[in-house]
Amino acid sequence: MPEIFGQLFGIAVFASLIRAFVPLFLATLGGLFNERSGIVNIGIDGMMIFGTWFGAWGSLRYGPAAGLLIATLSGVLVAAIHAVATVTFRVDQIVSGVAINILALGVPRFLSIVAFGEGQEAQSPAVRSLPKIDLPGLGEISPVVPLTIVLGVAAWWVFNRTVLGLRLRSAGENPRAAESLGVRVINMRYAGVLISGAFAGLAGGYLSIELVGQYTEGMNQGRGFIALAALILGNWSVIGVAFSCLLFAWTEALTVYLRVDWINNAFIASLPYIVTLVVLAVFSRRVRPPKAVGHAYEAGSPV
Amino acid sequence: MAEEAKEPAEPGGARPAPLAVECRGVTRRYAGVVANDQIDLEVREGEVHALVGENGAGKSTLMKMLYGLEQPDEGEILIRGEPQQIDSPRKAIELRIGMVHQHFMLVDDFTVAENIVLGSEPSRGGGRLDLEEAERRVGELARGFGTPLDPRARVEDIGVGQQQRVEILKLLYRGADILILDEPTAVLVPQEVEELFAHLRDLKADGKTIIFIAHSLDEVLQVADRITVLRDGKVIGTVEAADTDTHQVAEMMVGRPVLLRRVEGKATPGEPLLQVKDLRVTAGGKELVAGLDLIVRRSEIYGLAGVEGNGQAELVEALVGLRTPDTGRVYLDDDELTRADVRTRRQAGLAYIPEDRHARGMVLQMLVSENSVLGQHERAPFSRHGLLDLGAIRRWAADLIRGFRVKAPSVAAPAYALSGGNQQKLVLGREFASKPKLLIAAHPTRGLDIGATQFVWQELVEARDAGVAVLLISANLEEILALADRVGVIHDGRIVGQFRGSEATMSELGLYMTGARSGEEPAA
Amino acid sequence: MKTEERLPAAPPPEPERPARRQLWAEQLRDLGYRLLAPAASLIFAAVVGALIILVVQGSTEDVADVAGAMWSYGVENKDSLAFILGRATPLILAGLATAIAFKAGLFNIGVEGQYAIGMLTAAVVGSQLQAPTVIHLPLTVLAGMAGGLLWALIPALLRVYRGAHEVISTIMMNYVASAILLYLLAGPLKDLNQAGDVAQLRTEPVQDTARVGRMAGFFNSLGFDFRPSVPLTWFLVLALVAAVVYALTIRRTRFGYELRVLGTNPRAAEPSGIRTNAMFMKAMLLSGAVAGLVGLQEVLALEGVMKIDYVRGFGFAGIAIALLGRNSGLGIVAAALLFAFLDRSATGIELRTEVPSEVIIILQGVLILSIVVAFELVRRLAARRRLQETHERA
Repeated sequence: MPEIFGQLFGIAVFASLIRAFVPLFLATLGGLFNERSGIVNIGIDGMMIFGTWFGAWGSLRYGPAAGLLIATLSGVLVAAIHAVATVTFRVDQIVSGVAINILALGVPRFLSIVAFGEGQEAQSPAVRSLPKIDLPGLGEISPVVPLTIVLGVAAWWVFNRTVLGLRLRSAGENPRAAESLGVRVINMRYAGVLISGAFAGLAGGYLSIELVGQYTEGMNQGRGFIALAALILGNWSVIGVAFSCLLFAWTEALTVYLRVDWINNAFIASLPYIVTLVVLAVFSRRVRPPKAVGHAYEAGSPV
Repeated sequence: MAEEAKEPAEPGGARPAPLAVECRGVTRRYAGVVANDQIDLEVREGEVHALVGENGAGKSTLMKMLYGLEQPDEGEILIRGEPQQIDSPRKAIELRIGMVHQHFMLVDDFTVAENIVLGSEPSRGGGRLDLEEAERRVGELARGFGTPLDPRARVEDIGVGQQQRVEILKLLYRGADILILDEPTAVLVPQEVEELFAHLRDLKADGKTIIFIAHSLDEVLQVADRITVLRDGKVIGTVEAADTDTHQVAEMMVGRPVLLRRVEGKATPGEPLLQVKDLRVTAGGKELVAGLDLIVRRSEIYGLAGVEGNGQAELVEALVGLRTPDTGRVYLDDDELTRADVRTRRQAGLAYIPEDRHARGMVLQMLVSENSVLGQHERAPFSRHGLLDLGAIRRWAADLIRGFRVKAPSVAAPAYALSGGNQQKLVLGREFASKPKLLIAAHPTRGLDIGATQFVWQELVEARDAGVAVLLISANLEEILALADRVGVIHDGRIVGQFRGSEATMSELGLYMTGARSGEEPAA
Repeated sequence: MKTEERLPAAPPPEPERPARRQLWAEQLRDLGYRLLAPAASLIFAAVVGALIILVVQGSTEDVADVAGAMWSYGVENKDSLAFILGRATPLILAGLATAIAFKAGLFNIGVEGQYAIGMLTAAVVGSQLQAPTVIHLPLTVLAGMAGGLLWALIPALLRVYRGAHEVISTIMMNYVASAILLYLLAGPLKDLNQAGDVAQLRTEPVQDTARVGRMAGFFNSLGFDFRPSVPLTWFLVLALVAAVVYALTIRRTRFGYELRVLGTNPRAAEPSGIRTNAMFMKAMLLSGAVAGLVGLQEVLALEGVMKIDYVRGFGFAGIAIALLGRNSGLGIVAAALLFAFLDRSATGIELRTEVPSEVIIILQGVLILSIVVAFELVRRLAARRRLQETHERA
C-alpha cells in the first residue's frame, strides 16, 4: 500500500506533474483568451503541434531561446489563419479548427523531409534545451516553468484588472453591446485568437525543446483537446483552469509512474483521456461559458 | 400633465428654436430597398420628439444613422447646426449622442458599473482598470438623476425597469444630451411607463433633447412635444402633439383610415377544451408558474395579458410540451397531457404559433413545401411508413400559400427567398390550416405590419368561429381587448384577474398586471 | 351577437408569379454557384501547392515535374483508375459516416477510432466463427458496424444526457481506441500461430468464408486491363450503394427530413414535435455504424487480418471529404475520387520527381481550408443577389 501512495503522490510524480502542467496550462490559458473573446478554437492542438515542430527546428538552427520564440510565432501565424477564417469570413468556428488540425497532421511531415532530410518525416535530430534551474528536492526544471507561472498571473491580471480585459470579455459576452459603446469587437477577437496561438505555440515549443529534447510526430498526444476540457472544468476562469490543469497534469504523470498489477497498462495510458470524458460528463451542464462564444459576429448588423 | 411651456409654433413670433438634430435629404438604401428616402427632419433642442411608423417604415434605420451604426448614402446630418459624419458609435458618443436600443445592450455577467463604463473606462496608467472609481462615479450619477442603483449589482440580477435605467445612465455617463430611445415602452407595464415618462420630463427640464421611437400612439401623445410620421421610408409629416389625436396619426402612418375596434364573433363559447390545474414550473431555481389554473373553451379566444417575465413563456412551454411542469395537470378534452411530448400533443390537436416564428417555427434553408408541413410531417398524408410523400406535400403547400396569400416564387423555392412578412404568414397559415382543437398563439402579430396584423386577427376570429379554442398571449393590450372573449392577467406565475372581454379596460388590466390588485372575478 | 365593423379588406391580390423559364434559369445559376466554390478552391489549392514547391525546391521545373507526374501516374497509367476506385472506397464510407452526423449538426471526429474498433470486431468474428459464407460474411460485416456503433455510443450518451460537446469526447475515444488496440493486439487477440521468428501484432487471419474478393477480374471482363492484384474490391459496390441509400434517405424519408431540421435550425425542431434526443442518438450511432465499415476493405478483402499498422487517417480524410462534398451523396463520391486521385498522384510524385510526396498532404490541407472559406463567400454572394431580386420583385 505505501508503494502505491508513492506512485500516486510521491516526489517523482510531483516533479513529473509540474513538467506536464506547463504545456497544458499554457495551452489552456491561450484557450481562455480566444473563448472569452467569443471564438472557439478547436485547433489549439494543431497549433501546439506546429509549435513542437518549429520549436525543434528553431532550436536546431538558432538555439533554444530562439526556438521557443519561433515556436510562439508559428502558433501566432497558424492562429492568424483561424482568425481570418472565423472572424473576417465567419466560417463555422469548429470546422475551421478541425481544418487546422488536419493541416497539422500533414504539414510537419512535409517540413520534416525538407528540413531534416529524406526518411526523416517523423522526427528531428536531438535539439538543445535551455539551461536548467536546480530546485532542491524537485531536481532540475526548465526556466519555462516559472515563466508559465508569471504568464498565468499576467493573464489573470489582464482579464480582471485591465481595460483590455474588460473589453475582451465584453466581446465574448455581448458583442453588440460592446460595439454600441465603441469597443471594436473584431479587434478584440483577433487579439484573443492570436494570443491563443502564441500560447499554444509556446506550449508546443516547450514540449519539444525542454521536455523531450526533439520533435517526434504525434508527440502532443491530444493535449490541445484536453485543454478544451480544462476550460470547461475551470469554468473559464484563470484560477479555475489552473486547478483543472493540475488535475490533468497529475493524470499524465500517473501514466508514467503508476504501475498496478491488476490494472492493465493500456488503461493507465488512457487515464488522461478517460478522466477528460468523466469531466465532460459531470461538468458540461454545470458551467457557464461566455455567452456569445461560438457565434459569428457581424459588425453593424441589426439588433 | 404638461407643466412645461411648449416652444411657440407660430413662425414670425419668437426666435426659431435652435435645432439639436437636423436631417436634410437623408437617404439610405440596402440591396435595392430604399429604407430612408430623402428624409428631412428637425428636432429642436430641449424637446421630446417622437418618431412613429409601421414596421419597416425606416425609423430604426434613421436612428442608427444618428448613432453611427449606419451611414447615409445621400444627404447630410447636422448636429447642433454643424454638419457631421457620424461614422461610428464612438463618434456619436463624442458628439454627445446616446442611444438606448429596444433590446437592451447589456452584458449580463458584468456589474452595473462595468456595463456603464465599458468603452470609456476610468483607468490608472498602463491600461489598468479603475473599478472603484467607476463604481463611485456611477453611484453619484445615479443619485444625481434620482435613480438610485447599486453599481455592484450584476445586471442579470436586476429587474427590467432597472435595466432600462442602466441603459439610460450609460448615455448620461458619457455626457449625452441628445438621447435616442428605441421603443422604450415595449417591455414596461403601464405604471412603469408613467415612471419612465416622468423621468424623461426631468431630463428634458435638464436641457436634454429626446427622440424616441414608438408604436403606441396613446403613450406618444402623453409625453411628446412633436411627432414625425414615417411611412415607406419617407417623412409624411410632423405635427404638434397638442394639435392631433391618435386617429390622425394612425392614418398618417398607414395612409388610410384605420379602424381599431373590437371584433365580436358569431359563435358562443362551448365546452371546456383545455384545462390547467395548479400548474407549477420551476426554472433557474425560481418558481415561475406558481399554481396556475386556467380553462379555455371551444369557440373562445382567451387573451392572456401580462408583463414579460411573469411566467407566461414558461406556461406556454409547459402547455406545448417544451418544458415539464413540477406539479399540476394539463388536460385536452379527456386526454391528460401533462407529461406528454410535443408530438403527442400536436397529434391530439394542438397547434402552436411561437413568439419568434423565424427562430422556432421554420427552417429558412429548407423549401417552402418542406416548411409547410413542419409539425405535421410524420402523419399521413405527408408520411407513410417512414417515407415522405413529396407530391402530397407539394399539393398541400400550394393550397396553403394560395389560401393565406403568401407571396412565393414556387413551393419548391427555399424559404429564405420569401420576404420576412411572407415567411411569417407561412408559419401562421400552417398552424391555422392544421385544423387544431387548441391553438396557442404567442404574440402572433409581433413584428408584423398593420395589414398583416389585421389578417391574423381575422384568421384568429375565423378559427374561433369554427370551434377552435384559442389561447392568445400578447403584450399588446389593444390586441387583447380587440379579440378576446375572456381576458386573464398573469402576474408572478398565477392568474390574478379574469374578465369578460367586453368589460375589460386598459387601466384596470394595467393595475392587475403590476400586481396592484388581484383576486379572481367570476369567469363569464 | 351582431357582427360589428368588419376589419378592413385584406391587401390587394398578388402580382403574377414569375414564369417557369425564369425558375429554370435561376436553378441553373444556383448550380453554377454550387460548383463555383469547389472549383475556386481547387485552383487556389493548386496555386498554393505550386508556390510551396517553388519556394522549397527553388525551381519551376519541379512544378512542371509534379504536374506531369500527377498526370502520367494519376491518369495515364493503366492501373490508376483501379487504384483510385479502390482507394476511394473507404474514403466514401468515411465521408458518409461524418456527413450523417453533420446533417444533424453533430461533429463526429471519432470516425478514426470507430473504424479501428470496427476492424477489430470484424476480424474477431471473421476469424473465430465457423459458418457458411452466406451467414458468416454478413455477420462479419455487421460485427464491423457494431464495433463502430459501440465506439460512438459513449460520446452520443454524453452529448444527449450530459450536454458534453461531441468534438472533445469523440477525440478522446480515438486515443482510448489506440490504447485498447495496442493492448488487445499484443495480448488476448494476438495471433499465436504465426510462422517465422518475429510475431507481428495482429489478429488471427479471417476465414475464407468471410473474405471478400478483388474486383479486377470483373472490370477486365468489361474491357479494362487491370493487374489482378490491384487493391480494388467488391467493397466499392457497398460504398456506392451506401452513398445512394444515404442520398435517398436524406431527401425522401421522414428520418432524413427530421435530421435536416435538427441540423439546420435545432430550435425549430422541438416545437415541431421532433424528438431531438432520440434523433441525436440515432444520428451518432448510425454515423458510428457506417464508420465501422470504413476499414473492412482492408480487413476482409485486402489483408485478411487486422494488424497494428493498419492504414490510419481515413477518419480525418472523411471530415475533409464530407466538407468538400457538402454532405451530399454525389458530392462525397466526387470528393472521395478527388482525394483518391491525389493519393495516387503522391506515389507518382515520389517515384518520378525530386519533390517529396508530402506536398500532396499540404494540398489536401489547403483545399479543406479554402473550401470552407469559399463556400461561405459564395453563400454570401448568392444571398446578396437573392435579396436584391426579392426587393426588385416586391
